[in-house]
Amino acid sequence: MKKKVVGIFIMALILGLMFGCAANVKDQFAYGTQGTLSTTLGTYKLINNTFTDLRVQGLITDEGWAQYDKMANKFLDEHIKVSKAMAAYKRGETTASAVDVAIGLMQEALRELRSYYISTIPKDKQQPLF
Amino acid sequence: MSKEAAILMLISDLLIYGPGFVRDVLAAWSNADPTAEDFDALANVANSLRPVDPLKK
Repeated sequence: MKKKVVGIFIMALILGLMFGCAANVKDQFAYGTQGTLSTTLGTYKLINNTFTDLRVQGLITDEGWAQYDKMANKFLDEHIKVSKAMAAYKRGETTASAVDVAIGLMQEALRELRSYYISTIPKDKQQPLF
Repeated sequence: MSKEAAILMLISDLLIYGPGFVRDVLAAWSNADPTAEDFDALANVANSLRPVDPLKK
């Protein structure tokens, strides 16, 4: 009887730990990716607002805008790919490593956009990016 | 260890650790775990933020 009670208790503990850990790991990945998507989109919004304002003021040339438009669309395309990959991951249609690859490409596109922003926008017109 | 002692130990463990464990598991389950639909919605938001040339409106 004693062995039975202890055995059931240990089994319940192990199952609970396994279940709890699995739920946490999955949550953290989803939360982390959702956070990354929100933060990068926030950075893009700041960049887009600045470019749009300066374009209205005539400080961005047609060529400058065309270049910005190309880079911004590239970033958004990659961002959308990550969101769709994450949706597929949540449906069990793809793996976390495939999502990680998409995140890497999105961050690379944002790095390029940030570099363009820093090199094109006058220092006194730049907003601090996060 | 007697049978009574084992049962008492099990009950005391359940009372001490049970509420916290249940709370954590419920939180992991129900606490706004992002769903596939949330990420679909995020893709739509990003798509709606395409740059628009204000001089060509």
